[in-house]
Amino acid sequence: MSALDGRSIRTPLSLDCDVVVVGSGPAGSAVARRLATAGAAVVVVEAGHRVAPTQFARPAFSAMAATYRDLGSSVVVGSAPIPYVQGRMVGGTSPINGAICWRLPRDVWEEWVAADPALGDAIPWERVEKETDEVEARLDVRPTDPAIAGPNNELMARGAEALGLDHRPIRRNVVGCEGLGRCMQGCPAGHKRSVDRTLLQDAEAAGARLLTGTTVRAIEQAGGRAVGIRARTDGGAEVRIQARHAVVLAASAVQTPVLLLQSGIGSPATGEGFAAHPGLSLSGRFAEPVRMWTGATQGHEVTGLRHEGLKFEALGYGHAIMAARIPAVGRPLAAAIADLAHEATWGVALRARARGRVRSLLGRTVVTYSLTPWDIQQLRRGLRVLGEMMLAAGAEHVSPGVRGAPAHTSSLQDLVALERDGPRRASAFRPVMTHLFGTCRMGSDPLRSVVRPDFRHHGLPGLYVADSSVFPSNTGVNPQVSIMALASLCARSVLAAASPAA
Amino acid sequence: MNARDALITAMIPAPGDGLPALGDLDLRGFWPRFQAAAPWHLRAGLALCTVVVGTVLPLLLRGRRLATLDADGRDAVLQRADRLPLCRDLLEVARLVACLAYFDDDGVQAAMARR
Repeated sequence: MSALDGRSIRTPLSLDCDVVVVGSGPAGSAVARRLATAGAAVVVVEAGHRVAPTQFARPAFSAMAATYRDLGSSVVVGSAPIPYVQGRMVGGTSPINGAICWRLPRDVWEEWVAADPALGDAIPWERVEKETDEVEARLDVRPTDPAIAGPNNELMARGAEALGLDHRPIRRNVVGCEGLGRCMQGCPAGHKRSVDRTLLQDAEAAGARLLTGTTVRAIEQAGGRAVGIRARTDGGAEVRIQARHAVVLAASAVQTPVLLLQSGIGSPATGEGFAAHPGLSLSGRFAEPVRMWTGATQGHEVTGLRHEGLKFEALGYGHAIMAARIPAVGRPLAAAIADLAHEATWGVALRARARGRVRSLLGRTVVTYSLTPWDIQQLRRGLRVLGEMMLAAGAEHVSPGVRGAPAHTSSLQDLVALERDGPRRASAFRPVMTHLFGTCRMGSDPLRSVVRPDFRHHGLPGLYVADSSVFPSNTGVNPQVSIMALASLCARSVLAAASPAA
Repeated sequence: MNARDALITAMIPAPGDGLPALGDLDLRGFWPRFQAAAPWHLRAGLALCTVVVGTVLPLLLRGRRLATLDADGRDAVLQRADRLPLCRDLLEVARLVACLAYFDDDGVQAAMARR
């Protein structure tokens, strides 16, 4: 095992390897694991730092400052600014997500293959399933234990049952969860089986080297192929890593296209097709304390309207984020904080039809994205269903958090009116986006995709993309497991290409 | 008290029930960490909110800056600002920063844990 901390590297550094992997999140860790265990010399470069469970801070600000990119407030530009959340640490977003695990839905895969039949040969369903099985086994994915679910999750189950909607305990990659309610700040007890504690650990055990605190600036080319990367450490040193077989990008659907564009490797589709799952939350007050900050952070979900692009989850914010989402200031905000223990908050995530674009302008990353009228209609519908579930679960009143709608209501008619006659403009809502896709799509047409169906870049041999950039669309479900499964297939593609020369 | 601190502390006056007001907390350690961690657009949003809601609006409404108003006057300005489109958007930033600062305090965390 060999790890280097870029904060302490202040003189130029040069490394050689078979494959350099940019990013240590779910995709990068899955690629590194597969390659390293196959005997390849792998270097993983990560801009963030390693944070041990004992270092995960309780207050949201301290936790977010240490582990979230831009303090969790990166925003897309469009019809309304929408924050998107990304981790910036070893393991990417995996150590600070809700630990929700979904397999790639078969219907989503079928959509992809219908649009581009070559994908059916490159990523056949059976291989996706096999890789998923392996990932889920390594991450110890299992349904949330009812014993630690907590009131917030139990209430959602009650509400969904009353409305006759399909619901279930969320399958999560945690073992021995104590219901500390701190998944989003990083589990201080180390119960989350995030990739830094599983796949990346396997990769390091197999000899992969991890270079943290180091930001990749460019992909190096020679002889018409990708041969390595140039980077800069947090200590100010230049780093060059030469890769004999491949450069694999796994830096996320925002950072990967930016790196390609900054390296002069753009193509017509690079950065296009940005897709996501915008989500809204709805709060409700219950007579009995809910104490949302205890129990499984996100332990229950409602899947009954997935065919409409809607998926509902119990949320588990810390105090600061709960309070920041209360639409009030001054004394009303203070009063709501005093009552915070009685609040439950649930969310709806939308498989939005909107498509945006990632660009690099004057050295800054710019994401443009505007919700479509259909998206806004579905978000209104999602809020109605959330409100109806919460009232059915016993809430005294609910707070949709929509400008132009009642601040609080206990009336089903108000919720129906919100769906039918509510605001049509995106700025009336306060969505947040968490799952990002599609900016370096895989496909057979170089004009409409960036990598081939086997993850190889269309224009530059030796270059691969492994992260959710390659997904042809958003999935409508939490993607970390499907990212790992597809990244494992990307690693197999790297191995297949390298083996004749090995 | 400067305009920024007046704005932020007015966001969370004493909630009661054992919880302190944001103005009762020592924020000297928070601001340097905020400046280091926050992206430019968050810092710019807070600065703009400080100018608009902390200075311009109270001057228009009350003839004085927010920092020189008493608690009732500050809250009245905030409630008015929260009904004005541009100010309401800016207050979203101020609310986020105020909540991050408030719940970053060990005493507040301990009080919440007992609830």
